[in-house]
Amino acid sequence: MSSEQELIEKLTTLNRIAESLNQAVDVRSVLERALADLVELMDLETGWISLREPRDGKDGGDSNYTLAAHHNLPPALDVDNADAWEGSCTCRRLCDTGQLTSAYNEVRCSRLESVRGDRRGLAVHASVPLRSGDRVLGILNVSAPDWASFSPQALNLLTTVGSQMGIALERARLFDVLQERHLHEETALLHFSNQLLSRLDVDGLMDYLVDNVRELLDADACALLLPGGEPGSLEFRAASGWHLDPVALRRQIPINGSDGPGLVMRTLQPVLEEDIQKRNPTAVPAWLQTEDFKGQAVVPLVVEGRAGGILMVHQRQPRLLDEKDLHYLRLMANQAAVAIEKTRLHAEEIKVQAMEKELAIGRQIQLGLLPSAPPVVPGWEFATRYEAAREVGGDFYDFFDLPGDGHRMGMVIADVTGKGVPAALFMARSSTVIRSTGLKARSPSTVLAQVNDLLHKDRPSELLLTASYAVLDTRQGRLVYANGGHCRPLWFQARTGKLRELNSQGVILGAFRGIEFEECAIDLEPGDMLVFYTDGVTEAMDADHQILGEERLRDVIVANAGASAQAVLDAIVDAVQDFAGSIAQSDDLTLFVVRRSVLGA
Amino acid sequence: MEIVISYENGKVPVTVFHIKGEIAAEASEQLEQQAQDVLETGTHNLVLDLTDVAFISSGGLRSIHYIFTLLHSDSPEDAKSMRKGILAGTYRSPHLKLVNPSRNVTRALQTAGYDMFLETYSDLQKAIASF
Repeated sequence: MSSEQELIEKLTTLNRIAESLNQAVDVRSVLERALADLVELMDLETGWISLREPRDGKDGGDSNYTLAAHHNLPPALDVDNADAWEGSCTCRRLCDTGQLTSAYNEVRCSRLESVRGDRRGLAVHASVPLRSGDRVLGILNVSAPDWASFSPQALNLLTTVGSQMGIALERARLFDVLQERHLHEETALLHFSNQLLSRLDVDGLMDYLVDNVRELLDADACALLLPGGEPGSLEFRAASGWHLDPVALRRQIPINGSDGPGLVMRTLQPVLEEDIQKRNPTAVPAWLQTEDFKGQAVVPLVVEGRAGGILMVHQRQPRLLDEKDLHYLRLMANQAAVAIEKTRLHAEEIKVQAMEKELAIGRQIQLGLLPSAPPVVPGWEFATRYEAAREVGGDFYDFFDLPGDGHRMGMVIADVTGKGVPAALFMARSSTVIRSTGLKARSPSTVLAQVNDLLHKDRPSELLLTASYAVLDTRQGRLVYANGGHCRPLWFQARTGKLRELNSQGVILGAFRGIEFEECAIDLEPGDMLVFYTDGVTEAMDADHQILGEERLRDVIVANAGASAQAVLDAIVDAVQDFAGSIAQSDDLTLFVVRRSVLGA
Repeated sequence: MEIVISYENGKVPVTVFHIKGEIAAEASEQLEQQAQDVLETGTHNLVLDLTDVAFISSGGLRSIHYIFTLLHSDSPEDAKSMRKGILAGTYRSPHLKLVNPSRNVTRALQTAGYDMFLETYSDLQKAIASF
């Protein structure tokens, strides 16, 4: 073989070594082949490679070594010969004490010296530290009977390949670290998804998210912003790693800004910056300045094709998120968007359910207390109506026969100031109190005064009650009445054709202890009519938030003055419903009409 | 509903709530909360400017009563004189005043008997000067 051919062959081999080392994903798997090539190139027979176990990057002290590759070992150094490979050796000790510093080092091999069996005459080896920077990752040994066997050319080759191996090993180590991190990320992501899907409180979920994203991406800070607060702005909903907690500070940033967040909201594209401090200083918002952030990455939370918020991570060192990290950040932002949306929907659903349940309970209480049918008294007409609102109010009415001559009847209409189950319960209590008090006391003003004191004594939720209470003598036609802050009942007097209010002074019940109520009386003649109602009638609202008002109510009553109690009541309810249209009313619609029948009619 | 708060000086410091919108539903709670907040920071005299209030629900009335109770001490003497005054028609809250309620709101206040313990002024400055 000519020397030229020889050189070409050697170079080809060297190139092959370099390529295999550069391209291998698992460097250890190609070390064997590279070693064999090298040994052949050096005109030698034997070589081996020991790798140091990673020790957190520190040299010094004894390290653990593993035999990572070997070529053509003599029988005495067979890998199955435990004695041969147990314990340390000169070159490893040199390495551990930082003395294996030269490109190659001539070492009289302690292992070969002490081992029994066929050594094939080998006694020395050239040891090359496999380095990455100042860290020694392993030792490459090529062995020979004596130093004369190493030509200068061969030693050159040895150092070249040694440095290539070092680089390749470092690359592989970094790759392994990344692999490990990504493995960790995959696990974290799975865990994260499960967490997100199982969490139902939005705030807890968002806090969890920012903490985890920050940890996973090894970022200094992470924050999640959603639209809210001021229109056209994003507010911080969760943050991790900030010096000044932007959530506690209720920080908001404009959606239409020209920097990262604004851009992301408009374009739905991530915005990455290696160092925001390199911007024109005026282009760095104060809230970023104070945190001394440099690296910034902002991604959108995409919900149904639009930006539902942003997720951002910051670094106090310059850092440009790489593709893999960005991929994870976006993945998490999307997961978060879905989870937040789901949670929001779930919360709304629960709210609706709770409302419906409350509504049902309230209704039961309310309907259970209302008289099942209007009273039937000869010479009198009674018509009643209760229309439940969307929310349960606390309206009620009641009729009860009073003890005595059997011609007196207590009548009450009332309204609790509040909604929901508390109002319904207070209503139940109030109606019981009014009935029991009414059965004992004769005069309406006394009844209201006593009810007022009883309610004032025990008002758990600051609820008040408006009530109009009257006692009707069905034989004489006399009505005695008192009012505690309730809509004044209306009296249509057939004889004069006038509609009048039953004015009697009185403050809403439960507001002040020990107060008195004015008491008045009128005489009802045939054709006269009374309308007792709650503010659900006069305060019925239309789409423009206009209320029906007393004038309209009066007009309806007057227009139907000659009709039966039921007809008048129906006309009023029709008028209210016509007025409100399809607008859901927030108040119950409650009223009753009493009419003294016209004799002979 | 919106509440703008201003702090005025008559003979004594007076806090004014300029309320805008409807006092109903959640707005009632908001009103109560705001009142609680200013009371905690030293307000003893409060004016509710109702110029821009179109409507007050029964819940809203309850809130006004609640604010009234917050502003008045629970001492038995006070309660007794208040009760007597309400009966005689001579009592008006020295700590809570109303300004310029609309027709609807006036009507609701009267119906509930609030005119028996709260004074209403047509002019904010007069209300502030009345403390």
